[in-house]
Amino acid sequence: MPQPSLFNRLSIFAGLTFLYLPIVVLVVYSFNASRLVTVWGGFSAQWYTAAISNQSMVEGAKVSFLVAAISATFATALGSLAAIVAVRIRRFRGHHIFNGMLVAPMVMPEVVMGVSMLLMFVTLGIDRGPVTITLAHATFTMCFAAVVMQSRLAELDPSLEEAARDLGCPPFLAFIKVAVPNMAPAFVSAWLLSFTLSLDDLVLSSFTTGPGASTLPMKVYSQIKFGVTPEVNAISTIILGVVVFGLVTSRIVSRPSAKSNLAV
Amino acid sequence: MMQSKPNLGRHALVLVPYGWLAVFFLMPFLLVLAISLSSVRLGMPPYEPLYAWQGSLLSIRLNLENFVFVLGENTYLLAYLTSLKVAAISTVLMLAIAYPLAYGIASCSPGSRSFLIFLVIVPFWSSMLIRVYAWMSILRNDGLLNSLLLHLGVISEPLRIMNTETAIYIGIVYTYLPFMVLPIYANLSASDRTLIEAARDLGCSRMAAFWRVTFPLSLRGVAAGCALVFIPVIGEFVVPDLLGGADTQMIGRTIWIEFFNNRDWPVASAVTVLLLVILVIPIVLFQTRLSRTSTA
Amino acid sequence: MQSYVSIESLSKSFGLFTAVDDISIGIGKGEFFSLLGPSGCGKSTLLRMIAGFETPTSGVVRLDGEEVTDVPAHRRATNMMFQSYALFPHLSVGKNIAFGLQQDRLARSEIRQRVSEVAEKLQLTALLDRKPQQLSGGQRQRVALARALVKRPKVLLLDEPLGALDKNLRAETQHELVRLQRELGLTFIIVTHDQHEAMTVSSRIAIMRQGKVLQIGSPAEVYETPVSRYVAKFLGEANVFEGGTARRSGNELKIESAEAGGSVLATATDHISTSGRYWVSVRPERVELNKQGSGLEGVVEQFSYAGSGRHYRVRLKSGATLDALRVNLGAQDDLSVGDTVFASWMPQAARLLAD
Repeated sequence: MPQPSLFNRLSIFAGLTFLYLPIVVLVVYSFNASRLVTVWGGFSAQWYTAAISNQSMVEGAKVSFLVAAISATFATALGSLAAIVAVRIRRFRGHHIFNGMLVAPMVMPEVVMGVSMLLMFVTLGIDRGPVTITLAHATFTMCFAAVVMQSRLAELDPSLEEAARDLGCPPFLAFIKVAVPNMAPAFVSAWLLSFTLSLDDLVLSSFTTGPGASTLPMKVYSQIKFGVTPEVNAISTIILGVVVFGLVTSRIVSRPSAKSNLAV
Repeated sequence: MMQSKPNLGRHALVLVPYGWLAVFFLMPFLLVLAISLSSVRLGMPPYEPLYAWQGSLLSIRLNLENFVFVLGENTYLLAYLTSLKVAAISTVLMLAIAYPLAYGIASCSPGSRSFLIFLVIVPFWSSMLIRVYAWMSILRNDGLLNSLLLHLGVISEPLRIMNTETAIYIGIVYTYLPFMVLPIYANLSASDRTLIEAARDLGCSRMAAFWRVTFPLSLRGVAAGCALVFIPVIGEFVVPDLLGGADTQMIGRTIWIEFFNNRDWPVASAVTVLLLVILVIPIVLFQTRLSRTSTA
Repeated sequence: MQSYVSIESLSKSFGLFTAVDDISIGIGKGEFFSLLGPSGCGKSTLLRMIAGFETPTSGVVRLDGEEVTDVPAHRRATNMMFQSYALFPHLSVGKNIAFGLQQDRLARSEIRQRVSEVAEKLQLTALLDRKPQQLSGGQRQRVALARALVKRPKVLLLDEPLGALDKNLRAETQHELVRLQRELGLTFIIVTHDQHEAMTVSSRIAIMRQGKVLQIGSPAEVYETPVSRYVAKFLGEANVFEGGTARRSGNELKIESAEAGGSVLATATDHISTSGRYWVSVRPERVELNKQGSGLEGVVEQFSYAGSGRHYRVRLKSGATLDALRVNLGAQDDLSVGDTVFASWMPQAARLLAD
């Protein structure tokens, strides 16, 4: 294995600095005692106190977590089915359209999806609120879940299931007893990916929500529109902390390969 | 490997995800198309129904006025063009940053590779809104960047970056970068190292080996990365809304304003339909390329 | 012999490609039968049809007298050892071995007993709690074998079972397989591309090429009496020369061969006519090289020392090459590159081939 050259090291250093510096700045200034964002007024945790006692934000967080957890569960289930269909059945009537619909939401601008879902809910006369947000998120994140499951399913040795059949399992049972347990880490990554994507989403939620139901990103967004405040920094830091904690835990638990995190 | 599954179970298996996507993904687009042919009215929903029963007579009214209006307005045309321009330029910028980064990571030992790629993935998983917000405090006129430069004496007047196109580029490149890095990295790390050694053995310099072997082989990853970035950036809303100025109107924001501020749903739908028309070609290209990779 | 596994006019096509082309084989109970051939000859497809993973395009598979052609894999009394071993990574060694018995809903106590029995036989007792990833290649191979054997299949199918092992371990495992097969009295069908392996382990070998069986016989039969030039060259090495006019004296034939540049000896057979095109084949170890005397004249062009023997390549006057192998009996080597030699062999050493 050749050593990375100086140029390679510099590229990595520059790239990662670019990715992390703004986040570091954001985190550091969340501990700023001064109300002015650019002036360092000493260390203080007061904005955290303000953030967690901000009732509106806490409400938003509750909605967000609930929506993310439920939609991620739906997305993982649907995405897994879709992956099985795409990898195992492959050819059936309309498989081109199916594969298209499975890929398109990953690149489709969120505004477009938001508009179309809003119009559908309105046309069908469905009251908009947490339920419609959940449905929209499940649809949009199931495609990401499907990609994760697809890559895991494709790299699974087909002779494993053959071995199970050879030892007496009918095909469906062989799939359940052998393929499913071996996809467990992929289920975890698919769920976590769907969960964070849902937790993050602003645009789709804004279009599909109704009066009264606001997710955390929607609340943060309206705060940001008024300007930069240390309290928003504190809220952001908490969100980042949750995501990083989840990521590190899932990496330790399942050691997902880089490919299955976002396999394209 | 084809499995002999009972036919009924197979149909059911296909039907669940297929049905879900048809109802929640495909049908909404058809509705957008329908409503773009309607006209605005006061009330909820704020558009006229397309059809009406007059006795036993079904009358359908298709209104092409929205499209005529959108295509005739310079603001909309400009927004489409700006979006395409911003997407194209930021794709190129990202490629310039992402390729060396992905290449550098792929050249590390397998252990540090997976750690480094994890570091790239973390920001991708964390909230985009927050990452855009992080730049707001840096780029503002009284922000960190200007304070630092003023303090160092590099500039005497604060630079105006916030609410300009430059800020949009910074924000987009920053938030979408992992989407470009990951496919390129996946491609490079899967490539056979002995190919480069063979090229070196056959007399290529390090540079020549890169340009003649490594780079052509990584084009698949580059294409995937560009598609993953270019297509959604065209409709990007958050970055231009928070970092951009009034003079750089991108189409995602136009749709948002049309919907929430002007409440003109038919016109917003027409704008969306035209955006979809623009996106259809790259999306189809992306999808066929992707399915080719997965069958290969 | 009563056929225990009977394959009757079996064919399998994938689209336009015919992988298995009208093959019929009968395999007796307790045989160690090899399907031998180069990659792509259809041997794995044939094995997978016996296992039930592929449905034949036409033909019949019988197992112990019963037709099983359309019986799915999980209801067949065959078990397979996969080339990749296909050990379940989420299960321990013990659970891998017990997998098939649990599927058959045997009593817990019986499962435990049979697993420990087979584990002991294959020296896996100490490894039962490990995961497959923690095992060496040889250990995995034994687990795969144990998992298939524990179900007491009527036929054990082995798909290139030793392909992933290194050479020394492989030789040892071959003997181990033969010992097990004798001890258990089971029928084994093995797919391999390694002719040496096939010769070592099998009671009979079927040599396959392009979806067809060329010859079936015991290792000695196929080696000593190959039916064609292809078989002769595929199994070991052979010097093959086209034969011309032949003179018969008693049981001996003296054949003029332009290709060899002289006359060569063989025994007369009823099967091969010397009037059409035919060939004479002789194994290198049957060739005698002398510095003087009679036979085909040539010059030693290459020499290689192979431990158990010395290998010479002789350029004959006709321009053809001839390989000869002298078994290493400890004698001093008296030939070196450049020497003129005369090659000859006993008439019984040569075979006549019509194809």
